[in-house]
Amino acid sequence: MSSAYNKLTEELQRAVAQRTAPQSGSTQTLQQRAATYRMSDDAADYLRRLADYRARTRTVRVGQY
Amino acid sequence: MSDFRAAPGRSPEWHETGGAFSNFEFVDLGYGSHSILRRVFSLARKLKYHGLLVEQIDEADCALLAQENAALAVRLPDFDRSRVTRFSFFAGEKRSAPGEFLGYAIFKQDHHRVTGQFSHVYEAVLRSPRGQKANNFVHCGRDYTVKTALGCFTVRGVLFGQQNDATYVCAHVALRAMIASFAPGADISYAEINKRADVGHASPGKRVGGRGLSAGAESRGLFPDQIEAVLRGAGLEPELIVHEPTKPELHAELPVDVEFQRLLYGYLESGSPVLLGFELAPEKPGADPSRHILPIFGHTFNEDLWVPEAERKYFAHNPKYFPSESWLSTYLAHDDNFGPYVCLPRHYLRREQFRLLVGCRPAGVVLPPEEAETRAFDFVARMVDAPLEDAPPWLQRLSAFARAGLLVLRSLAVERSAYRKHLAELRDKDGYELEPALADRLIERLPPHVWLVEVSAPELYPASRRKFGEVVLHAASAAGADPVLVFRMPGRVLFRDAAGKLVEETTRLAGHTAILSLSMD
Repeated sequence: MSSAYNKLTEELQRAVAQRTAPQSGSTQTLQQRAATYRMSDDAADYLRRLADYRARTRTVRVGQY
Repeated sequence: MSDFRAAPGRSPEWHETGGAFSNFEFVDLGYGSHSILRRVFSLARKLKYHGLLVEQIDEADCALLAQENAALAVRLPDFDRSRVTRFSFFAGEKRSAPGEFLGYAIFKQDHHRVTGQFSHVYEAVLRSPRGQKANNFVHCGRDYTVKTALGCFTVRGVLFGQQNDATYVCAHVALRAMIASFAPGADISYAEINKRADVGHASPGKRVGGRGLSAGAESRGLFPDQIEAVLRGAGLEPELIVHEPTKPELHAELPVDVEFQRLLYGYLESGSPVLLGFELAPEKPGADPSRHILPIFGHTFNEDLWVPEAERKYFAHNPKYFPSESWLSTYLAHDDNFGPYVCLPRHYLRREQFRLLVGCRPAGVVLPPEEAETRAFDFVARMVDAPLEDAPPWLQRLSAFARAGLLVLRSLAVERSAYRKHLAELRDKDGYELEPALADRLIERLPPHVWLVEVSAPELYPASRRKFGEVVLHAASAAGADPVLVFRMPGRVLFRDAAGKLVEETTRLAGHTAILSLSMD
């Protein structure tokens, strides 16, 4: 089993445990998380590289079909 | 202009094709053992055809045929005449009760005074030989009506054509299949394609194809900018993805972590066919390699595929989530060299061979598919990166799969009306729906076109085609604006209020629900 699935098992079991013994939380609501959301650096970097590629190749037209 | 579907058929003959009837014998004796025609007949056999109507199409009855022949006579001066046969395939055995119409094919035999005969399947539309039950998904089929001696019949399928290597080549037939797929009645003639591409049959510098050229003369195809011009002329918005690794001076190589297959899938899953161009092996050492292009219009799906997990565990690809494309096993394509409805394995054409992908974004869609998916994933990951209070079990599972990097995402561009219909149809396993008033609020501020990024799990999406929920993104958001408009998940919904702020509501729809289906059958 991969480490991702080990992590998943752990998370699912934690969720099951929480159903019977809910922890009082200081967790943020979805709305609070959405209000502070900013795109991650990884995603921004990936999109930037794709945008650069598209800009570079906008006029590259090679070969015949 | 009367085309081959509308032209009256002369000398109709009916053949009962069950029992001893042999496709091979029929094609061998009457049609020169033509391999593509044999492929068409074999597909008809697969569709269980039992009756065949054979009609002749005369140039006097078909303006399109007259136009094609006139072009051929300019390009190849030894062209003399052509014989055109229309085959219509039926499920029924008796002419008096032909039953279901399974498709048709137009077979053109061109006679040349010097070079003899050249035959090809001018066009054919057959029902897809396999449907969703066989894990085949065709999103781009259209209805084609044929006026035969037995009456008018309609078949839903994807138009196939074979090049004649003189007035049209592989790019022409691929373009025709693509354009015809966008709307009934959008079918385009080769003359129109040539006009838009500025092809001239009388001009050595502007003609296409390899037939009739003197020794050493170069066989010509369509250039990518001609392909682009034809699509724009048809009112489409093409996007060309190029990959030229052997020409480093152009700086036109796809980034190493971007697979052309994933870009291709983004268009396909939104209902748009894609043209896929690739480089062939050189005919002899040192020669320049030729290129070929195919229309891709569907895919097969294998829910037990080894690849998605193996890519992650063994080869360290896509470590953050599974694109739904991971379970795609083959593309459904037409190849005019081999025939209609061929399957091209997803992992067969490699990055080294790939050269060109031509997709058309639906009207109103500006955000590229990979950007929609990347943004949706990033948003979902942040929203559920820590436990949520009072979350229903399926939301907890969504959260667990996200934190483990094991979500499955499926992106498709849809119209708001399609999403509205989808929301109304959603039911979880307990039979709960999304409250109609809440659905109205989700929809009311959406633009006409959106990206729908469905969020699922590896044991949920491939097994039962179901999902946790979806992220809806603006398909044409202003630069710099956050395109996320809705995130629907089990028991909760985030959506934008009048001020543009994402607000949270609860819903009784707290389980998993069916994915949105666009397939033609």
